Amino acid sequence: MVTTKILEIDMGKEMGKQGVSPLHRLLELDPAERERLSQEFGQELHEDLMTVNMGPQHPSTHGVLRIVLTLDGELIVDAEPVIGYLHRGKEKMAETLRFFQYIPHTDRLDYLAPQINNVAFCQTVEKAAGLEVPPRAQAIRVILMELMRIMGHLIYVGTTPLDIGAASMFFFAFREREDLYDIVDSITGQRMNNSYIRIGGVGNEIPDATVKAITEFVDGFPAKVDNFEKLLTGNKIWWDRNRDIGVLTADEAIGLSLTGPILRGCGIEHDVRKLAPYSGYENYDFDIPVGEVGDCFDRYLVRMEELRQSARIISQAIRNLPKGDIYAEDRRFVLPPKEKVFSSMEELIYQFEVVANMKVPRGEVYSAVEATKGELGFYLVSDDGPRAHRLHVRSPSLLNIQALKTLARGRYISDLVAIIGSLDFVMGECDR
Amino acid sequence: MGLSPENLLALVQDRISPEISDGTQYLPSADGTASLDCPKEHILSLLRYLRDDCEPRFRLLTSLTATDESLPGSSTPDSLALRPGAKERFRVVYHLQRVGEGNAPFQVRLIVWTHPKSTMPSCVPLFPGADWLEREVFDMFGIVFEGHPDLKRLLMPDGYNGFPLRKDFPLRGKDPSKLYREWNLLRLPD
Repeated sequence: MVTTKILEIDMGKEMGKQGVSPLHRLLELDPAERERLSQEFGQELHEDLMTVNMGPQHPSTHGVLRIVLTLDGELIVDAEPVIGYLHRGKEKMAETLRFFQYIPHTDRLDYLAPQINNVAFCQTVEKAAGLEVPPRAQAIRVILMELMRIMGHLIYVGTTPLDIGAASMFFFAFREREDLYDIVDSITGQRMNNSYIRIGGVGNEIPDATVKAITEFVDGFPAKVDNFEKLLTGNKIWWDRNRDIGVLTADEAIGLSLTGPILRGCGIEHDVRKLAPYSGYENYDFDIPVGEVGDCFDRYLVRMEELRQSARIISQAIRNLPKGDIYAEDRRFVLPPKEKVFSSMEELIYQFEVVANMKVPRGEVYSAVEATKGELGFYLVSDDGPRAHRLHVRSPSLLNIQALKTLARGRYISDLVAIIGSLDFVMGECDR
Repeated sequence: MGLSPENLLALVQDRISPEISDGTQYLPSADGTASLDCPKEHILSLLRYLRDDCEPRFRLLTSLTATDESLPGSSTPDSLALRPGAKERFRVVYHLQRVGEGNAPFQVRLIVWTHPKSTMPSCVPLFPGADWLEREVFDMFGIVFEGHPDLKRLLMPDGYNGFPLRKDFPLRGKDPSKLYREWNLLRLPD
C-alpha cells in the first residue's frame, strides 16, 4: 500500500480548470515514501503520481475486473485489483437449492470449462453421501474433463497473444475449440454450460460416432500444438514480452496460495490429479510439466505441455473405456433413467423420492479437482437434508487475481497485460 | 513413516507445547481429512507449527472460510438457535495442504469457533494469500480479523449494509430502493 495525499478531491468541479478526466486522480507522494519507492524501483519517481482505473470494461482484463493503478508515467507503483462486479451469490443460493438443482449453477463458475466444475461439485456430494461412481462413468468424466482442460487452455493460448499483439494465434486456437465444441455438443447436447454430470454418474452414453471423432481429434492434436509452438515459442516478440516478466519464486507462490499452472510454472510438482487422485486418475499415465523461472513464459510452456498431456489422457481413456453402467445403482441419491420412469411405477416413486427427499448425511467434506486455473474445491457442510447447510467454493481464479498486486508492482502497463493473460482467470469463478 | 489422519493430533501434542494441544481435539470427518478443533488463542501457533515444523509441512493454505451455525428459521438476533453440536455461532475453517509427493495425508482441516462480537487473529503474516480470503469472510459474515493489513469488503460494494452469508440475511437480498437510500445516507456527511 502506497501512502499518498490526494491533491484533487472533487474532480468534477476541477475538471474544466485542470484539463484532466474525472477518471484520473493526482496523488502527491510523501518525500520519505518517494525516496523508498525510488530505491525499490531503481529509478527516480516524480513528485506526483496518477491514479488510473483499468477496467472494469478493459478488453484485456477478460471480464469485469477493475484494477486501480497508481502510476508514475508508465511505471506501476501500486496495483489494486477490485472484484465483485460479477458476484451472483452462488454460495448463498446453494443453501436454498437442492443438490441436483445446483449443478447448472456450477457451470456458471468457470464457464470456459464447465464440466470440471460439475464433476467437482458432484464428487463432493458423492463423498458426503458415500456414493461409488461406476468405472465407465468415471472414465467418461475424465474424457470430458480433459476435453475441457484443452478448451480452457486454448482460450489462454488464443487470447493472451491477442492482448499482446499477435492476432493470428487467436484464430488457430479458436478453430480447434470449435471442433471441441462439436464433440461436446454431440455428447451433452449443448455447446456451453452443459450440466452433463449427475450426482452418481453422467447424463447419457457417449455416442459411437463421437468416440471416433474424439479419437481423430486427439490423434491430430499434438501436431497442432507443435504448430502453435512454432508460432509462439521461438517468436522473439512473444519471448521478449513474457520472459522474466511476472516472476514468482516457489515460496512466494505457495505463500500466495497459488495452484495449478502458475505454481507448476515455479517448478513445484503440485497437481491434485496425482496427489489425491479422483475419478480414476491414478489409472492414467501422464506427466506433470514444471517450469524453472516462474515467469509468464514458463506458465505458457507449462500450459502448452498440458495440452499434449490432456490429449494423452483422453486417448488412454478412450482406448480402455470400461463397459458397464454410467449411473450408480443407489436409489437414495441417484435419479432413475428417464425411460424407466415413464414405464415403471416403482421407478416413478424413486424419482419422486430422490427429488423430494434426498438426504445427504450430516458431515463436512472438502473435495478438490485440478481445474484449468488451479485447484477448484468445494467445501460442503451437509445437515442430513436435501440442501447444503453451507457450500464454499475454493476458487483458483480469486487467488490468481490476488497475486496480480505482487506481480504488477514495479512493472510497466504493457507488462501488466502480459501478466493478466498469464494468470489466466475467469471472473465468473472469481466473484461467484 | 506415513502419517495417518488419526495420529496427527498425537504428533501435534508431542511436538508443540501442551497448552496449545490441550484444547485441541481430533474430529473424525466424512472425507477422511484430519480435522482439528483448535482454541482461538492457539490457532496462529498451530498454523505456524503445521507450516514450518510439522513433517510433512503443510505449506499451502488452500481455503479459509466460515460457516454460520445458527439455524435458518431463527431470524431474530436475540433468540438464535444453533445447530446441534455447535459451540458458538460461527466456525472459521482452514484447509492446509502439503506441497509435492509423499504418502502423508494430503490435507488438514482446522476449525475455530467464534461469535459476532469477538474477533479472530489474522493469519496474513503467516500466509500472504489469506489476505483476500479473510476479507471475503469479513464481507460475507462480518467476522473481524485483528491484525489484517487492509480489512474491507471484497465482493459486496463498499458501504453495503449487512453480511449476506449469515443465516438471518434474506435470500433475495434487501429491497434495492432501501439499499440505495442507505448508500445516499452514507454519502451525505461529506
